[in-house]
This record gives sequence, C-alpha cells and structure tokens, in this order.
Amino acid sequence: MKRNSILSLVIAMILLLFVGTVSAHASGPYVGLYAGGNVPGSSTAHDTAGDFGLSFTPAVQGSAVLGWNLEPGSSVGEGRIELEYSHRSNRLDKVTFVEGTVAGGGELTSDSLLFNCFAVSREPGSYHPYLGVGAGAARVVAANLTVSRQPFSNDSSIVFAYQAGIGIDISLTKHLTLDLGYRFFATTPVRFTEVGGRVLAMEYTSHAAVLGIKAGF
Amino acid sequence: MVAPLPFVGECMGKLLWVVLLCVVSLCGCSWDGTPTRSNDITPLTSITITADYSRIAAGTSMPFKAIGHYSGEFTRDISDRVTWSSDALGVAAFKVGAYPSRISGVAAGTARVTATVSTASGTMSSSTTVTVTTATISSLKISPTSPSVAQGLATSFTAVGNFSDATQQDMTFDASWTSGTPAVATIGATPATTVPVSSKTLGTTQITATFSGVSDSTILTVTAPVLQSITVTSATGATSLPTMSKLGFTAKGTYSDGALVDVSSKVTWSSDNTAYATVDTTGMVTTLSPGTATIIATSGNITGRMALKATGGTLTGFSLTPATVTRVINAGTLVTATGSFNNGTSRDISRVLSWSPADASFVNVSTSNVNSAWLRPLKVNSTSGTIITATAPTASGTAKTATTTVTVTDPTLSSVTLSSGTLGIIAGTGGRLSLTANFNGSSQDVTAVATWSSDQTSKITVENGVVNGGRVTGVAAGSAIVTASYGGKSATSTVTVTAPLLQSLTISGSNSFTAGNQFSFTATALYGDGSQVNVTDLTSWSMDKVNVAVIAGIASQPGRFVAVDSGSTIITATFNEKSDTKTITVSGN
Repeated sequence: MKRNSILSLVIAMILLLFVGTVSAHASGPYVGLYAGGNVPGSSTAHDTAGDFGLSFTPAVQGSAVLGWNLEPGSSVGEGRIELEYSHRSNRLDKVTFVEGTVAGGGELTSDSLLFNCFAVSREPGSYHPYLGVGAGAARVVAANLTVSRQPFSNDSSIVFAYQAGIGIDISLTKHLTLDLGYRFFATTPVRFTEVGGRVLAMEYTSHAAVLGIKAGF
Repeated sequence: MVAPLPFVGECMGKLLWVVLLCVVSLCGCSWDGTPTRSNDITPLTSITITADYSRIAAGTSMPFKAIGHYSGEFTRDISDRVTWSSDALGVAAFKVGAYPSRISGVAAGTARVTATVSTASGTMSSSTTVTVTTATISSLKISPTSPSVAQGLATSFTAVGNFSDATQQDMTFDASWTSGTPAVATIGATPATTVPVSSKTLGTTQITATFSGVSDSTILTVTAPVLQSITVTSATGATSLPTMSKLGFTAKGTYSDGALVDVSSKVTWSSDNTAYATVDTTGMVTTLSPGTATIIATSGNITGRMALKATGGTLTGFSLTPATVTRVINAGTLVTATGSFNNGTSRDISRVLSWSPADASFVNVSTSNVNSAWLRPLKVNSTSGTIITATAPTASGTAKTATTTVTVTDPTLSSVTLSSGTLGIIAGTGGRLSLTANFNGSSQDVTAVATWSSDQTSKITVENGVVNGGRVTGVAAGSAIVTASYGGKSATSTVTVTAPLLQSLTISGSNSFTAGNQFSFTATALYGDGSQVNVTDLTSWSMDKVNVAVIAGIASQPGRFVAVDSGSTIITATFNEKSDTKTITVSGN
C-alpha cells in the first residue's frame, strides 16, 4: 500500500508539471481510467453461530468511466454524470472469533457498476474541486476464503452498492483532465454460504484514494 | 486564469498528502467488535492433559483437564469434548455422569490416563499417568474460617486434606458437607471446586466437611441483608417534565434478600446537570431549563439513575396575580404566578417559587397544600403595604423575581352577604357560594376564611378551606340551609337539590398544543331533564402518557393541564361513573 501511495504521489507530481494556463473543461462526453489504493473497512459478519470479525488487506483497484460533462450554466447544475465500472480485490487478512484472531486467506473481490453524479466547481483555472454520489450494483465474490488455511467460503453475491466521492479535476490540456480523488464505497449486506452450510452476512465498505486520467471530446 | 503553478502545486501536494494520510491511517485497522462466535474452523492439532496432582490417595478423586491446541493459534479447554479412559480400572477409574473428567483412586498402583477426541482428520489422543497411594487422611481444613455473608447472598467453601504421606489434596469434592442449621444456610447441590452455600435467614450455622471419619467445622454468620441496587422513579412515572416544575422522586432499593424497600430518605440525591434540573435532599426535583439531566440516588457504592428531560422553554419572566391587594386581618388570599418562556409559552409556576414578605410580622406566606401562595394578613401595616417577593429558582445568574403588595387593614365589620339567597343544584354536582364581608365603606370576599355549614348534610354538604370553601355538593333530593359565618356575623342560603338521571359526560376544549403551554378542559354533565351542568371541578381527570401532558396540579384550577413533550395522549374525564375521552396532540418543545 505504501509503495502504491508513493507511486501515485510521484505520478501526480509529474503530471502537475504539465499544468499550465489551459481553458476549463469542455462540455460533452468523456472517458477515463482510474487506478488507486483501497482499504476495506473491517467488517462484522453474522451467521447462526454468532458474530465474528473480518479484516482485509489494502490493495490496488482500477476503474473505467464513461461520462458527460454538463454544459457550464446547465439548468441541472454544474458537474458531470458518469457510468463507472470498478474492480477491487482484497485478501482476507484476519478473522476474529471468541478465542482470538486467526489468519485468513483468499480474496474478496467486488466488481461494481455505478451511476455517479458529481457537482464540479467550474471556477476559472485548471483546478476544479468536485464531490458527488453514486449508486448501482456490485457483484462481490468470496474467492476461496480460508480461516487458518481451512476452506471457509467460496461464493458470490450481487448487492446494491453506493459510493460518495470527493476530489479535484486538474485540466492538463483542453481535452485531458487529471482526477485526484477519494471514494467511500459500500454495499448492502453481502451474504455468502460457508463451507459448513451456514450463511454469513457481512458489511462491505472500502476507502480508496484514486488517480485518474480523463479524455473529453 | 490559472493560479500560479508553484502555489497550485503546493496546494495540490498538501491535498494529495491529506488523502494519502487518511487512507494510510486506515491501513491495518483491525476489527474492534465483540465476537460471539467460537472458532470451529481452525483445526485441532494436539491435546495436552493437566491435573493438580500426579499422586492421589485411594478413595479420593481429582479432575483432569484436556487442553486443545488449534494449529498453534489458540488453545481451548476441551475436557468435556474428549473421552476419558484409564488402562487400569482396578487402580483408577473415571466417574460417569456430571463429572466425566474426574478420576477416582480405587487401589494402590499406577494407571495410564488417556483423553481421546475425534476430529475431521481422525482420532487424536494424549496420555499421562496417575499414581494411587494407600495414604490415609489425617486432618481436614475448611476455608474460609468463620466467614459471614449477608442474608440472601451465597458464599463458598473449600476443604484441603492432609494425608499420612505428608501430601495435601483438595477434598472439596470428596468430602460430605452439612449445615448445622439449614434454616440459616443450606449447602448447594453441586459441589465441585467450591461448595456453594446459600444464606436464608439471620443467624449462625455450623458448616462441616467430613471425609473418612475426619471432619472440620466453621461457623457461618448470616448478617443483615445489604443493598444490591437502587431504582429511581418519579412520582408519576414521568420521564419528561415542563421547566419550572416540581416532582417528587423515589428511590427503591433491592436488598440481598430480595426485599424491595423505599430508601428515598436514606440515599444522597444529586443531579448530573443542575442547569437543567436540581434535586433536594428529599428527592424533590425542580426543572430549570430545557435539557436532560440524570437524577442520581446514591447509597455507599450503590447508585440508581433516571434521566429526566426538561421541556417547555426557558423562563424569561413572570407576574403575580393579584399584583396589589388590600385585606383585613386574617382574611387570606391566594396569589398565583404566571411564567413566560422563551418558546412563546406560558404557564402557572406558583409551585416552584420561593416567597418572602418584606416583614413577616405583617403577612404570613404559606405554600403547603395549595400549590400557590396563601397570604394571611396578621396585623395592620402602613398604607404603602407589605411587599411580598417571589423568586424563581435558577441554576446560575440573577434570579427572576416579581412582587405583590399587601395592605392590611382592620375595619369594623358591619355585615356579611352571601352571593345567593337560594341555589338549585343537581344531586352529585355542586355549586359555589361566596361570602362578602361588608365594612364601613368597603367590602372583601372572605369565602376562603368563612365557616360554612349545612343543616341537612344528608341532602347538602358544604366545604371549608382555602380552595374549596363555599363549595356545596348535592347528596340527595331535598333542600338544606347553608350558613356562612365570619367575624361573628352570618348569612344563610337555601339550597335545593333535584335528582335527574345523569345521561352523559362531555369534554370540551382544544386538542392541539405546544409543549410548555397550559390548557384547560371543561367537563359538562347532561341530565335526563335536559339540564347541562359544568362539573369540571368534580371530575376526575387523567391522561395515559404523562410524558406528553400532565395535570397542572393547581388545586384552584381543575381541568387544567400542561403540555410536556411531543406526542399524543388520551385525556379521560370521569364523573359519577360516566366518562369521556379526548385525544390531544402536543408538538415541539
């Protein structure tokens, strides 16, 4: 995670060198690619045997967006709307039971498709802060989750997903924009069937710092 | 225009670092909840057996413990999961039933003890040896010695045996235990590592442990029950109360013998936020400003708490009615106070005020039983009168005050006059008569201090007193003469009672109020002869939710309520077995 953060920082700094006096975002369609680091929130899981805790390791995530920059002064407001696909995959690090915490294993993966609405400050200049929310669906996969190297769950679940985001758009050229942002992603409870037959329900949340490049047309 | 690059770059750098620090700070956050599920996934990898002794005397026993090791990640006592066995049952054998891990020495020798458990990967076991000796018990020692326990509580004992081979063994399980006076304390049913003893009544009993004819005893004293917990409640059950109100609180203590005792006078009362509510040494709570305070009753290290929400705005000022009054000696009068609050509401606050006359030798002020101030002139004062100052309670700052001036005179009484020479009422209802004292050039209402009587109490009753003086009530059809006396003069009124059949009762009044406001209802009785009578002051009033509205508690103002907090409540009026209800809604605070 630390290495990824430093890499993101270096990339951001390099790109900043290219910032000059450029015009504001053009209205119209855009596409973008994002990469970043995410930290899943520690989760309380419930099944018929009781409550237990799941902790996941931070990992990288990637996103692709297809959106539309609204015309400045648009009657629906300043900003942009977009369709975002994201992929996250985090290793189950620790599992906490009554007896204590033991090692976990396997990956918890989510693929989400969200419709996002961002309000963007269109003040003159190259830096445009934004914030917004999104909602959609996510397919969350428990890929060979293990507890103490024993099989625990191998299942998937499709759930309602939502996120809140904040960040800043940096105009590099008339058509290229660098996006540095934070995303909080969450879903309704995810249900997986355990190897033993019990069904667990767990929270799924994620904090992410993302760096993206968008091209407008 | 774009901001200068170095400046923007610096800002971006800071923003980036903030975001990264936020994310990094979240890294490694472990789950901090409280698990309730046991780990049945991590595999058991080994077992170890432990015991207190490697040698026991024949005829005694000891427990074994099996500790399961789970992949090196944690251990768990699995004594009740394993199967225990001995390879020499003639030497040592495990008990069956409730204590399967306890082994008994049968005869001298050595036995190999094995604990076996089945897992998903097969069977796992662990073994150890135990030696049974021929040692005999030489003495037994009970612990603790001469203990005491409060009535209703339990205590426990253990016994250690000294053996002929100079060894010691815990004999708590193997000894037989008795209580000399079971009425005082009894031995628990399942002795294991300790023997539970439950106390029953005050007194002493001899607790004895015996093994192989060797015994030891000690005296257990059962002392007076001790306080275990305190429950604080308000007199009405209310948890919300308008500001500038008073309400008594009660502390009930639960003692170790199960007794529930009112300990209100034995506890120390306090409030955790005296800006909202204060409490005096008797548990009387006064609410001051909107907010929630916890009323606390403490006795030793036992504490009871109850949260009380004060509603209805902060007092901004109040006025007294009447503001000035002239009264003859002993002809008292009621004074009420109306408070104004910063949420736009107003209500009677007479009950929480403290009253002080400028000179108590002229006017006496009493607040008992009337929830208002009763001013009783004692002797003639100057024409400028005696100023009575009422002060509202406050947590801090300058207290709000208001005054009323009482001028006391002592004119010559010439006559008294009743408000009506005749009065017709319906049985079960009432009416009011008032008495006016006529002096040379002036007159005063002396109803409250006059002496009232009826010559036919089977037909008519009449009340005396500050609040209800002059109130006549019809008992049965007929008539009676009511006499009012004051200062040696008297007047009479003939009261006639009819007895039509009561048909119904109706409540009238609004049904929507703001928290903190005072409001009143009128109860009207409809009779078979078509007559309608206001019976508000003879009606019993109640509400089903005291946190929404409460009876104002002003004796001279029947049917009056105060809106407390948001919600709905049903007001019920009952008169002569007829009743009516009205649902009211209180909004805001």
